[in-house]
Amino acid sequence: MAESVAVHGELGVWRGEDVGLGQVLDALSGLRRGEQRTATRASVTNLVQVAAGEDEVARACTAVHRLGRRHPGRSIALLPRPRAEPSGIDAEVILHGSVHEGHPVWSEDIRLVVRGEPASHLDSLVKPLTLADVPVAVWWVTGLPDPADPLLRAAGAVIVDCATLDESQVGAVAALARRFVVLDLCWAGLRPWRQVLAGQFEVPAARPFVAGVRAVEVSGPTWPALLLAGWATSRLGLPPGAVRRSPGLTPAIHLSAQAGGRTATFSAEQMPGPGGSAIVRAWSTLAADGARDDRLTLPGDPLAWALGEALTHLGRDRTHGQALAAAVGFAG
Amino acid sequence: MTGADGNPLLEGLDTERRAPPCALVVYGASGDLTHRKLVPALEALASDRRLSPAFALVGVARTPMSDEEFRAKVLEAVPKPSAAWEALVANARYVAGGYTDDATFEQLDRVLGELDEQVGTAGNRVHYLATVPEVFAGVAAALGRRGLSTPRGDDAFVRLVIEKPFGRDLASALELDNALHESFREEQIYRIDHYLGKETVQNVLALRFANAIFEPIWNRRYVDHVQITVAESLGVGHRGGFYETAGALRDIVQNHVLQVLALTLMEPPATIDAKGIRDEKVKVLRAIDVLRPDDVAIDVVRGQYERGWVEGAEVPGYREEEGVAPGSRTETYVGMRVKVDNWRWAGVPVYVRTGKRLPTRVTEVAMEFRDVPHLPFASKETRGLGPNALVLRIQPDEGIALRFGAKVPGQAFRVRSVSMDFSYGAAFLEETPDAYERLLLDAMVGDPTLFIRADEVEEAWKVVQPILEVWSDDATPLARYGAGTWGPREADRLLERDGRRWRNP
Repeated sequence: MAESVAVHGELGVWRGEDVGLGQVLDALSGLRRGEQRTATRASVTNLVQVAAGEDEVARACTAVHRLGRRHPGRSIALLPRPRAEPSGIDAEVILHGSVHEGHPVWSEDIRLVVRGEPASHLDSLVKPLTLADVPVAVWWVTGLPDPADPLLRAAGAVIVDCATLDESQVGAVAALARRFVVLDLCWAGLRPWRQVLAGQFEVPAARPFVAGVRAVEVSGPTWPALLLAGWATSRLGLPPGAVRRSPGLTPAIHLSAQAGGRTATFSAEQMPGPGGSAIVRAWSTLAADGARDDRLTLPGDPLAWALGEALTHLGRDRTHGQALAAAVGFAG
Repeated sequence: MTGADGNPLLEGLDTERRAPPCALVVYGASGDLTHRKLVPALEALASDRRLSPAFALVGVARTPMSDEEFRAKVLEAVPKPSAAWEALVANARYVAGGYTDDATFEQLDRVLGELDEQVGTAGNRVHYLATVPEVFAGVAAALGRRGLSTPRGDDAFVRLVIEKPFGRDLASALELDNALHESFREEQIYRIDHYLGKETVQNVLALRFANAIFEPIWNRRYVDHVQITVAESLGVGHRGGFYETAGALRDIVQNHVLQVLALTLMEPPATIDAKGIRDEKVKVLRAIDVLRPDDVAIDVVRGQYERGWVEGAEVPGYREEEGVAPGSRTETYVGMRVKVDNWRWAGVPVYVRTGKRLPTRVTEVAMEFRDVPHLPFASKETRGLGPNALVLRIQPDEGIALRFGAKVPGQAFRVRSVSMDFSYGAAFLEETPDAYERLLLDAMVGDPTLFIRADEVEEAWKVVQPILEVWSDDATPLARYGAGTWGPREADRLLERDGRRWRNP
């Protein structure tokens, strides 16, 4: 067993190999006691990340730190190792300090590499580490949790990223969303497309067309396209046969509609924006009737942004559930 | 707006706080308030998708300008405008003309009609008077003459937003209201006190009415007295000319201070909505004991700052400021003892102070509680113990502090006051919307909860009117205080007389 303590300015780091959870808890309070100044612990959430490899942990931690200002709290990264290895836990605890409006603010990152049998009981590691009175969200960084995973019962919300899944898993996600509060980062990331496209129907000339949508055409990566099509058909009450899919690099959706003997198309598509940014542009063929283009700049770090969006709405998302249910109808 | 409004695609997009299609007509569009506050607030609302794609900004001012020049000026007001705002600015129009000229409103009527046709503003208008108060009545009358104060259509709305000051005294406030009511119904009028748009002022309601532990002690039985401080470290700067005609009583006490007082002391409303809250605020304002002229000298301190040091810099006295008369008697400080004569607060003094060139910028409400009936400790053991206090800090460091006694660690039994401090900034790191953002959206959505009703304005003027009348006599003493101090000695004596002292925020 080896332990080390390092302090970088306001930050304290503790590491231990083959440690017990009690030592991790002692390290958490020890790092806080070691600071001379009193500080507020900013906590609105416990965010647990379950990752399959070091790369995933790094990607998740980066996203978590980037959203720290919006959702400060305790971050617990779990890296379960193959069950055949001898049981043991390697841990790292980092105390982050920052000054916000003159107040020192602390938050903690805990990282556990879990080997052997304990990897089947991650819930038993998470429960003692979570902060009381704030929600626990568990993020499976890639893939889907096993429906029998006991960690699901410790989660107030389950975060997944459908963009990391196969199309064949639509049914499994829909089933998971029926049992648990599921926050899908891929769905959260599509909010700008939904916003600008829905906004196109607010112009008076376009309003009659919302009830007259007959066809939905989507393109882009598999899951964003599936979810956009599922969203449009479920909201507008269209059958699966109304959807036409085509491949593409970025998400796009086009709705064809009829009203008063006229036909119009409403579109939302990702495009390059100024200075290397990306935007979503929405437009319709009703420009002559007063409809205008709408543009929304996409966030520079989509993963962190989607995570922040998901955590802002920590409840069951009925619209998402219905979009998933509809997507089951036309997924391959 | 959700599916119920005919657009099922909006469902799940958190649109309940989204403005409906409308034209926002800003009078004084070439002025400072528009570019410093209103346009940045609108840009923030646009980036947050709170404005409808069928939103149009219409500027009205005397300065001649084309639509294109106005759009360019609007875009310049924000350093990095969002794409969503740029798209909405394309709808913006400008009308040049005098604020009471019928020709201006004829042209405005035509422009608004075009926007209904082209942009889909649906006959909805919010008229925002970002002008000097002298033209409020004139604009309202001109709108009325042109028929622009009445909605054209069953579902359309027309609202009028005005900024304080709402009159200079009780008589002029009533006169203004009468003038506005000739063209607009009261429910169409939104009077802004931007203080009410501050997140932490609204949070007074959350603290009081969402928690079971505070309300039972929020009364005369437990509260010894209340202190309300609205302090500014700045002087009058370039506003000397305006301030000479206003003074701290009109500028701060009549509105900000009395609004904060009303929210803090009002009875719990049945519902947190416009009527519920404003009805209760009015009741508290009515319960304030209006001073008799003889009592003004006893219960109110009028002060003016002299040269001194603030935050490490030497600053001039008020009478040395630009635009201020050398012998000015305008007050830059008011200290007051207010009595609220109702069942809950009878006998609990509310000490109010506001001033310029005080040591720091702070707004807070402190409830100081009564002592315990019997202190079972030796007096030497409780030397560091003060009364319990609950402090609601409104700005700049928004939060709540609770002062209570705790044992000092060690063998001896010594009790000392400690402060349990909650800071919003540290708990919720999320940016809070600017007051104008909140209030502009409320005006467009049609939620008047955070706006001031005519009867509130009237009751607030009734509180300060006797003081204005007494002070109009030059014989009233004017206490002087050094810039960078907490006000004149006379203000300290106001509390010392009652065996109390001001807190140092």
